[in-house]
Amino acid sequence: MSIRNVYLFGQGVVPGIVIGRAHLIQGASQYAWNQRHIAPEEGTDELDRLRLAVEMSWQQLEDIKEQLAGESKDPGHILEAHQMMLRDAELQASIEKLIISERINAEWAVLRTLGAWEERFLRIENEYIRERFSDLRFVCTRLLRTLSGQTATEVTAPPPDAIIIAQELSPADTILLGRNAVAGLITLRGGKTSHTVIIAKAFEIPTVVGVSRAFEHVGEGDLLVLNGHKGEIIVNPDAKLVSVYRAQSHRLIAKDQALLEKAHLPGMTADGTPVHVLANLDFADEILKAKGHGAEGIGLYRTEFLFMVHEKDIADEQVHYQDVRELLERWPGGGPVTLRTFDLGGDKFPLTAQLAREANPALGQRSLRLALAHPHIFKAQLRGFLRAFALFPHLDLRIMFPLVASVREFLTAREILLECYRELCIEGHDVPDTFKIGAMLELPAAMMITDMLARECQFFSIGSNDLIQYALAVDRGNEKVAHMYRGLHPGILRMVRHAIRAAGEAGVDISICGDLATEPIPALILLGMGLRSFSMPPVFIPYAKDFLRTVHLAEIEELTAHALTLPCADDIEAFMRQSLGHRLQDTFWSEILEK
Amino acid sequence: MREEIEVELVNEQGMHTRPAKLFVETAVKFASEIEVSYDGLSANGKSIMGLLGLLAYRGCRLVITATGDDAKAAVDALAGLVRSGFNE
Repeated sequence: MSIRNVYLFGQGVVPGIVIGRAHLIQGASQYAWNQRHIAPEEGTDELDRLRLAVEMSWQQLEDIKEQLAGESKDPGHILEAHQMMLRDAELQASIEKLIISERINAEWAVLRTLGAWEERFLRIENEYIRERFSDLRFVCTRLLRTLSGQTATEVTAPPPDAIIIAQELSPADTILLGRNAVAGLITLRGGKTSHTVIIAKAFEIPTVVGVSRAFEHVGEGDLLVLNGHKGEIIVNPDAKLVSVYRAQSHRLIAKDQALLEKAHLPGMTADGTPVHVLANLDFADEILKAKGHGAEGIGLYRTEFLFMVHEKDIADEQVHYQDVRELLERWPGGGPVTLRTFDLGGDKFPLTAQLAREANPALGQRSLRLALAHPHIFKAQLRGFLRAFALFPHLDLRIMFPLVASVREFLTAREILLECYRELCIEGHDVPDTFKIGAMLELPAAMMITDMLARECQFFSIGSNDLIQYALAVDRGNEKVAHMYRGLHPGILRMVRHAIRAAGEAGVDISICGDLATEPIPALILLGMGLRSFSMPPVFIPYAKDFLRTVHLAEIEELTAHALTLPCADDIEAFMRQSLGHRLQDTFWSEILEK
Repeated sequence: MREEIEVELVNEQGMHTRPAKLFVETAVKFASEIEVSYDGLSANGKSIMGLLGLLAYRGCRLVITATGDDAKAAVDALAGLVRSGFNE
């Protein structure tokens, strides 16, 4: 009997709770491919077998490409590059040479060739160059599967309710799996913005990535619970856990339906105080889903994706223009649309990624600092935004700068934006002058000068994730200190209260777009402190609106006033839990977040 | 005929999969043999793996050599593609 209830953790990238059987897909490096020496007379046969497998693999990709034609996130060009690699004369020649000179079979020769390339690629520090190796690995894995007679069916026809586990999945594999109604996806490699994740999102397959130890703990056919909200996997759950999760997933589905029907109702508390519930988005095509989930605006549109996985080497003005135009075209209006300029770490930024690493990247040249250090890239983005704005002058359009540290820094960024605006006007673009310019409050020092920033900014958005990290000096990813990352720390709450008050006094809109907005207790405390606008991933919106309709503002204000007198995060949480009682337990909002 | 030209990789991610694919697609339109050299390595300009194997990133200077009747046109087209940042 295998061990029960083994918990594995990764990064939940597509939400949803599913229960299913593990189906392992082995990449080139894990699977024990048939490797054998061959007799000299077998050489010709082996070469024929290789050539046939190359052509069959090429055709498989061609078939996938045809199926894909016309889909919005068409990765056809990637598949074409993979086809070109398959037929590459040099690659074939090196495999063939090994078959003949080393007297090994085709599988072994492919593996040896792949190994030689891996050595060459992975010596390089440069992240972009290393990434190129994954393309070759996908191609060779496909070739090996074909050689082993598995063809593509091994991947395309997993058992019903399968939860797929793989080192990584190629875009082609993910599409095929998506069409075969798999229950969930788990990959060992991380990366929230890979092509694979984009496709999984499009097919709404609950997905957890970066579960690095999955192959050590999961066997073929093991029962799994996958929680795509929390990034959690339970291997071989006992009957009790299964029933809890099955009930939860059924209730989630039922509740989802019921809540979605009510999602269009305006956000408000039980006493009728309006509370705006906005959406955080990563992709333009999520906007319809956001509207369907009841978003009253876009509180945060992230643009990092364009820099990280756009097949362009760097997003230029046209790319930004197209992207924002696609977003705005689909937005039916009503409520703000807030675009955040790129918020990249130096390691993710195309121009600096290959330079020496910073000793302390969180405190280094990232986000707005990078933008100001590379004004031509910053301007390309801003010009792209503004050109798209020209087409939609009636919308409430906003541009937000991340990681603003000082009034001076905000003014510098704003001046660059206004310079772009003036240039475009001279060039004859009819950019409306009604768009708003605001700042994210995510540095403790910025929170404390909200009143001064308020003289220049037209709106604020609290970025709680970075705020907590910087204020408490805790890296959430470091398991030794992750427990100290507490949004309910009184120090955090005081800073947030200070900012909400200062913004309120100045009459400047303030919202929150960090994870704190998605957790019921902190969200209620923010409400009690006067915040009336919350931005969150669309999936949370129906839950948040539903929960808000159960609380009275006067009561929440009273609870908040007391909570703010308590010295520890734990005390605050316990007090709120006790006071809210069953209302908190009954909300599915907390159920999708908590065990 | 033999033509040679030196160009700088200006696109941000260097000789990535997509640029390499575009390079090959352009190179195969010409009858000339195409060679691309960088940092002591040289690759067949009609091979995507050869080009990727150069491990060339932004700022690297590539030498493109074409040998054949249409060498001049080939070198011009390929240099143009690289200089344009692969039309991005």
